Amino acid sequence: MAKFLLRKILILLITFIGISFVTFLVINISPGKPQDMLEFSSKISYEAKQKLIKLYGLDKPLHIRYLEWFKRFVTFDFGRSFKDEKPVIQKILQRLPATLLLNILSLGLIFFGGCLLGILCAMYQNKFLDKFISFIVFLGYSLPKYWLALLCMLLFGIKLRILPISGLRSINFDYLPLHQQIIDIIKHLILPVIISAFGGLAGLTRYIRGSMIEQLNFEYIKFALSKGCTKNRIVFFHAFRNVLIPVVTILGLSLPDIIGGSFIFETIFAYPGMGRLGYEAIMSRDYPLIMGISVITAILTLLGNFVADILYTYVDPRVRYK
Amino acid sequence: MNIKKLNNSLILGCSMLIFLCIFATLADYIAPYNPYEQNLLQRLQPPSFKHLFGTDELGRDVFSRMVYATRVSLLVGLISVGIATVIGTILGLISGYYGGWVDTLIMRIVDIILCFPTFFLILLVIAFLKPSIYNIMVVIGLTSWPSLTRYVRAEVLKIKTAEYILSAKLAGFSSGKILFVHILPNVLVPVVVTFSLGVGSAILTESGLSFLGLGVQPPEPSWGNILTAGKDYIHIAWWLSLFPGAAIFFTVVAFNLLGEGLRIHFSPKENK
Amino acid sequence: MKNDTEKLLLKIESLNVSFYSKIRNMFYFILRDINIDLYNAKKIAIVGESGSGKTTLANSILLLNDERITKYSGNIIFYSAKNCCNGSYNILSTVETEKILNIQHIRGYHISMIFQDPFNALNPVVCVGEQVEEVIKIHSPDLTKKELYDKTLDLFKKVKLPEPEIIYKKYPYQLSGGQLQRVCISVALANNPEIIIADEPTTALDASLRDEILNLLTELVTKEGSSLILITHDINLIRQYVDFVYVLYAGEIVEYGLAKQIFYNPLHPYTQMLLSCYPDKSKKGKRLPTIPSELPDLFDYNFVFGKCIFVNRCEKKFSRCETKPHINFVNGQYVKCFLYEK
Repeated sequence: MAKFLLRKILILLITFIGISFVTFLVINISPGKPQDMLEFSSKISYEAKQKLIKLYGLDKPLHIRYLEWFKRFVTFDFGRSFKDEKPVIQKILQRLPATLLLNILSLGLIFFGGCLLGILCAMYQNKFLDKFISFIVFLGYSLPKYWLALLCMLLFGIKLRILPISGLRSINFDYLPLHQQIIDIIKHLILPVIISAFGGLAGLTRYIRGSMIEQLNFEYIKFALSKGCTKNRIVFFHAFRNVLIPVVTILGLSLPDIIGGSFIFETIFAYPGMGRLGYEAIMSRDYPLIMGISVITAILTLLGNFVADILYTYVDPRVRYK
Repeated sequence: MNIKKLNNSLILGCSMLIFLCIFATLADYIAPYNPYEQNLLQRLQPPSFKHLFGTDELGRDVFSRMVYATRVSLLVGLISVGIATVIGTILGLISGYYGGWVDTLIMRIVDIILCFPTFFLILLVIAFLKPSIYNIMVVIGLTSWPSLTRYVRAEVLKIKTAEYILSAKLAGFSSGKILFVHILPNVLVPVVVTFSLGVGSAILTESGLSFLGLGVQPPEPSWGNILTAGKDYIHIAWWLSLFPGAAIFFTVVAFNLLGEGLRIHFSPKENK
Repeated sequence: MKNDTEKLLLKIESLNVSFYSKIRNMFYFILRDINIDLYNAKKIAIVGESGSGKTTLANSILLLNDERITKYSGNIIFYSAKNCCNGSYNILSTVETEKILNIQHIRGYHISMIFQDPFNALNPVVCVGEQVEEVIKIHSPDLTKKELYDKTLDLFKKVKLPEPEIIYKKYPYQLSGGQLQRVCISVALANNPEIIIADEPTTALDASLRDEILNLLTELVTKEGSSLILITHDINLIRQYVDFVYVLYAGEIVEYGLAKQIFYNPLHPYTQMLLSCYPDKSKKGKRLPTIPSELPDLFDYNFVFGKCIFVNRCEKKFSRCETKPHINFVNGQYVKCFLYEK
């Protein structure tokens, strides 16, 4: 087990260095330089510009800059944002909780919704319910999620006026009593969570349906039946435990999609999370902020995968003892 | 080929694609207006007989712009996935056939790309490379090969031990010839299926980028950038959100149906 | 319990089982007109080659065939010896709600089953102890955790598994085939059922384990006062382990009677050929005979319902064999063949 963990952590480190280096490379070999951006503001004199270049080490060769960046990264010092001189880490930490909340909620929705729908389909295989859910799932696969977001905003926000369409809180949030504050946040979260979970939900439902049908044909199901198990126990205990094993890995692999999606959804819903911060940083070429966000994103996805790996060994006894 | 043997998904997907191709090739004849022509007096008109899908914030005919945008989407989808397919198949063949450290290296890279939010990477690269239709194709192509590589590798591992490969080796064929003449045709079916499904998701990525203002740049029409206007005018012009999104949806459904149909058509189990 | 040996436990009456074939879009009768009587504390065997429908027969008793494609007709009447079930109960009863409630009650409690392949019969991700406990818990939900655990360990001792505490926590992939089949036997014995059905319990195991497992099984069945239905293709087993034998061929019972009688004096040409195919000392150095031709096509209704089922492979056939024979009683055994028609 210890050897297994060590191996995993080593791979994690290599992957992390790979990702951060690629990001660094992309930012630095691209034609648009931050000092060029500064040229637009005439207020900055030549000297001031040179000072900035020195400050951020923009005149040094690439690999040295990466090493320096990495050295500072170890102490969680990502530098300061070009835009407002605030420390990058502070800016990110401010936005991180909202993003984590959104992503964990949609991951939860994917997991529970996917399991429920997938099992329902498998139990009513080729009946109306199965065909209906499978059809919706197929459409959900092909649906542009940002379009769905716009349509939902149109329907629930503008036509029906039952859900807010932007931000995480209403303007009068601070003046509301506690329980209404909670309701307010929940209302703001409904659309972003459902929409960012939509793609993953479709994928997982489809997977669980197939896997469940496969498991239900195995011999051990017949043996369990011969013991007098009810149909529900067969499905939810015996078969589901076997179906669950790869689901953990699948969820881990869908993490990048969810986090990647949050760059779009947070922008659409004006959601105060890291995704929107990243989008704004890219648009304004705020190098330190971009680096910071991509590193945090990488750490989040890698950690998610790591947790999935650990959970995998936990749910599958065959791996645990090897 | 007997048309009765084709399944419904395949037929439906193909018909939808033929329909789209007609729009893309005959755009000049189908579009009632010039897609670039602005008419500020006619801005934000709701759908009518004159303007089938209404007009946008600059008074351009949305239907005409959408007809031209079909070209962009199909082109981006096909070319980017073409790039991904070539890279993915070749690396998968090499990785599966040769094994050893080459395999480890390729699979490591695959793992790295698969566990990183590629959309963010694409966003990053496009933002720095200047958004243009060519950059988009290349970047989507360069980031979406890993899952195919995994797939092809697994197939190759299965085929590698077959008798006929062994006899080809004994007959003295070079490994290159074995790979491309004997193994490649056997992995072609999953590759074609993945290609078709991949085009759908590439079109989704492209329109997502255009939607964020990082894809096809206005005034060049794209379904994604018409949607952006839809978002800005969501309170007053619903047609700007509805129609371009529906077009993206239609196209992606078409490619997914085709992929699914091909998968069913070639799988011996479900064919019965 | 041992005194009333002539008490009827299970009566299978003109049972027909048909499966739906998707490819041919028709039903085919995998079992036809099966009649079997099982008395208390008796061991019977159902012998037949692969494809004869013996596994389907075993599954039918507990309704384990794929319910989406299976049709049953006839009766399977179970007369419970335990006090809880009120007298007799028809497993194939058409009253739908009643059926679901009772079959789950019967499975594992009154009638339990041991499967062919112990490697696939156990859930791969649940530890074996828990899988034995489950069958006790389902039928006696009031027991505490401790009681369940103790009962499970007792069962493991009964089936002679070494170190029951350690085995309890093991997963199926960590045990050998013999150990797994012992776990399955302990599941079958757990609730002291009236009937145990063993579907080729040794086929998937090493030949050396065969006698060990069968000895253990028959010994335990005798000790517990249960009845055994042993399904097997190995006609040699019947002499040692069972009292009564049914010979199944292509979905029909062609001969039945006391085990010793059938073994030493087979009447039906099929049984005779089956016995002559097995090696023994007297045939040393000689080539073993085989039965010519193949099992009949079950889709051919004219053949299946109109002729003697063995006619295409029989060496002793004559003109009458093109019609359906009746069951004849000859020297204390029953045989479905025109050779013995009076």
